[in-house]
Amino acid sequence: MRTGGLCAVFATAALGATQQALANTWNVGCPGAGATTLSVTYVGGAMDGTTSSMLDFAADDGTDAALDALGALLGTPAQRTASTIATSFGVTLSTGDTVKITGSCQQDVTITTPGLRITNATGSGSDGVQGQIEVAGARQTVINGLLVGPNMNSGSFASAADQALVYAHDGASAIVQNSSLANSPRVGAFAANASQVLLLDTFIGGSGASVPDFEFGVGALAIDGSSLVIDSPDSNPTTTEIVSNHGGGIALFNGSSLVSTSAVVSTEIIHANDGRQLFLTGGSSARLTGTHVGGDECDTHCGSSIEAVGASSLRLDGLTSIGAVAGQSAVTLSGSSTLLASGTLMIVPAGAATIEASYNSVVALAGGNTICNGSFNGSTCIDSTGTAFQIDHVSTLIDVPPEDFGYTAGQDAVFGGGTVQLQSTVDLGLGTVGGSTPSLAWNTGSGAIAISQNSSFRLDGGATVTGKVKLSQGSNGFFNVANGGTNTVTGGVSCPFTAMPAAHVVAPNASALSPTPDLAIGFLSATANQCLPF
Amino acid sequence: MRLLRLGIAVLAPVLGSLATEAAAATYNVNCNTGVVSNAASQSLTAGTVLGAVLGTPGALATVRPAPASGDVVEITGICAEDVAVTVSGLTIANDGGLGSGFNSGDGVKGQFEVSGATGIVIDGLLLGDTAPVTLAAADVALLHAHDGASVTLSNAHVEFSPLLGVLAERSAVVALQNDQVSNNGGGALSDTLPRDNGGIEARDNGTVTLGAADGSAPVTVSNNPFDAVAAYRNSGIVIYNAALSGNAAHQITVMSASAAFITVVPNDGLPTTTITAPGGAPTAIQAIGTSTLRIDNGVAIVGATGAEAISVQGGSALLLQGSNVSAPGAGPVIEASSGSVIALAGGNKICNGSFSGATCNAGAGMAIEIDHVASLVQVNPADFGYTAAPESVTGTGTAILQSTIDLGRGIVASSPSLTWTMGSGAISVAQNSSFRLDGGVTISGQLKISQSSNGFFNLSQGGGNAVTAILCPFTSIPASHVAAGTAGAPFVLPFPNPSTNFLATNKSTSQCLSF
Repeated sequence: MRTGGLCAVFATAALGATQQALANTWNVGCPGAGATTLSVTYVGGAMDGTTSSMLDFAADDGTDAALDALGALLGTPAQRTASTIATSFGVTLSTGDTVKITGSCQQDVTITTPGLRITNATGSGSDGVQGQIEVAGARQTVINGLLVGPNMNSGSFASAADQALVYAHDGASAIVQNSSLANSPRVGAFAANASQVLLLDTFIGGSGASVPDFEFGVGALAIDGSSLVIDSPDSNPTTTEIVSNHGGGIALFNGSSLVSTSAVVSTEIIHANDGRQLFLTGGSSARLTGTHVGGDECDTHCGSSIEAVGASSLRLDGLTSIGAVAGQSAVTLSGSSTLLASGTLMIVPAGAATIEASYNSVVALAGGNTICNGSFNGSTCIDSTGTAFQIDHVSTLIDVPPEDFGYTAGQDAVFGGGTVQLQSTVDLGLGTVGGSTPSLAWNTGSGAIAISQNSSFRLDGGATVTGKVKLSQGSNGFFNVANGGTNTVTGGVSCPFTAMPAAHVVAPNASALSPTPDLAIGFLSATANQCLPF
Repeated sequence: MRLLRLGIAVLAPVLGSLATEAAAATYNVNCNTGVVSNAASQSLTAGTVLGAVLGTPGALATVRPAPASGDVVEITGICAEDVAVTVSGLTIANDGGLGSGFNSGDGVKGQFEVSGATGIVIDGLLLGDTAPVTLAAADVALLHAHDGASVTLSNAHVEFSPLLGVLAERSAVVALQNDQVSNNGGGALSDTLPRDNGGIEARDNGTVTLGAADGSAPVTVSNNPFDAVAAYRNSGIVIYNAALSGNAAHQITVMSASAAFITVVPNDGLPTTTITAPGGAPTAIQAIGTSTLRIDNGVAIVGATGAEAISVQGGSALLLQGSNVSAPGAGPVIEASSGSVIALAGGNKICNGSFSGATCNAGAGMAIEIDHVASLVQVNPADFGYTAAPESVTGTGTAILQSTIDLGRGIVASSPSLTWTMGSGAISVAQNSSFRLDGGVTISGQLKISQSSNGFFNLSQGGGNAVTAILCPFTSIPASHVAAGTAGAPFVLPFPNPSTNFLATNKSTSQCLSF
């Protein structure tokens, strides 16, 4: 069985059985003009180390009318098996095999064999694929060192059904490393239906030129229970970068997840994309660690740098930094979404709140954050004339103990005003950090913290507000030192009203609130800006 | 004709060989000697022999023929190496064979990685050691299934990992049956993050199940110095039958749009799901960041003294039915915070104190706290497939910072749908919060409404509402209202007799305002 030498068909089967487990290397040549070529270098067995004769396939003509060598080997959307290969080379494509590409193959390919490694042959940076690399249910596909793009002549996909330069779906997993996915007409990297795509030291740029919408025109997309990972373990040739995509940077839909870490903290990772840099919806979640999200470099249709909607969950930590263009927020939460932030830097110019939470959303600060509405002079936030936080429609801004989430305690520094309205709640202050530093230092700049429309504001100790707090329209303030330290509001707490007082403050002592507010003696005797006691 | 016969004769062994290869093979791997026995015996290196058979990180199996789907690999001895399985359909068992039960002498002391392979069965092995294990720098768990892998881990022990015991990552599924997972985490001093340490974890659309769907094959998760079972980022935990106890951190953590379903499946008197936090441990079960908990059908949860048994935070939700939840000390036993929801679906017993059989031995602390725009509601059991049953709460209650309590499902089995008992304490509703009873509620204790909070009472669900006393305490200016019908047609007894004159509101009796 393993010696071969029988009639051709069974000899092929026998050899195949031997070679399949031994990780052969397939050599694909796509010279651009003339026939494409395929050969195999055998590993193990009687032919170990030898290379087959080269077989010619159709030339790359920018269409999928005839299979080029890569399509014949891997399969295509129309032909998912490589049946012609076995009879020519005695082996078939198998798990563990390596496919080396020389040149740029103009071909949509569909991978159904798990465990393949598709890589460049020359290291020139131009080896790759012009078309869609589809990974249909196959796991552990590795795409290494390739330049993947649309047909260079037309700038489009060969088929209207093509989705992305790398399209993993239906339980597939793909590792894209040291590669460049450039100028996709639609999505750059796409994980659908419980699939995973890991982007390691990989560039994705210019996606979505033909479909610049926020789903099918982004750099990286995960939908329906899929996962994305972006990381830069080797920084070779560069760190992972999602840049200048037309429909947005990264989008997560329907229970999908993203993990982003950076070997080089705060290098450019997700930036200069049109629209939003990161969008989560439908109960999706993302954790960014040491990631720079440069929404401030957006040129067109710019939105919030990060937006989470529809019960989605966002966790930012490890010196993650986020910027946004004027008039847009660094982070927007809506529809019961949440943000947990520790050790982050968020900065936007005046014009929109740095962080906005709406419709039952929650912002949880876990220490060490700098939230700036203004600009930086060195490490200092200046020009904070705008709003740092807008919390509205039954939403919540809260301090949470860093240690509950594995973080080290640190002061949260906020620069800019605050708006809290429509039955929303703010609860801040975790005592002191390191014995004397307030856990929260909020400098409102020229603005104030305005709490209105049946909202609540509470400080629990260790909060210093440099500026004013204004309670109105049935909103109330509560001040205590349950968490240690003291509370200070340098500009005072007031309760402005036009005709009838309706905002209360629990009468605090000097530790719970300094300076102590001027409370009304009675309802009827309340004067302008006086708060009612309970 | 002769040529044809010759052809058939020559090809017969070939076809026979093909047929042989298609049949399941058994590989006996002796990690003490390095010998692999299949069709023939091969002598390899003892320290790497299992990796040669199964594969190692970044490399496929090197033995020939390599195991194929359906094959069985039986291990003798402890294999001190990392292995990585990429071939689907393999069974890896101890040298007694599949189903022979746990054998502490056979196993893997290293990371057992399953990379994208499905239908993997690991049976009867020790993963780890009986003493602290050191893993390679890149390793994350004793069993690491990832990228769509599916693994059934049965009759096994997973012990003494420096980081995680079991990890299901990126759409991987690990089903644990008849296993023990203990003493994992805290051994890599450079990484003490909760998410990287502990017993069992699913992350990034991963799923772990404990126990079999028919209620058999209970799993024990104990004495892990970090979280016992955790799910991060759109991941799932399903517990059909497990005992979680003695884990120093959380018994269950569910974070970032993840979900846990914890239940009891009756199965001929087998032990049912119990979750018990040891002294000094934090919240036994927590859900954070738009995550959900569903706990039903007789689960017993005991929190540590002074810590919550269950906490839901950050837009998370708890659906609780037919379960006993207790914690001694100050409490609360159950907490919902920052936009979260507790939904009671009947048949629960929530006890500040401890249970003696089915009886709550009441403590003096809090049963339920709702804060930061959170809600406590009773929901229609039928909407979730449950049979209606009365439920009880023992201990005080708090609703603060714009939170809401809405209780009452009428009369169930001739009893109020909810009976809340609190001794000398009270239910305190403060800081712009709301409290509503809809009929079928009996509260033995005081209800105190203050600081611009309000109370609402109706009988829309049938039955009556009874509260020992409804008070609206204030210091200077009354600010809390109640809507409770009229003295002649009250919606709660005794009628709270709210003030209709703002200026004449009786401070000494903590009189409420009417609307």
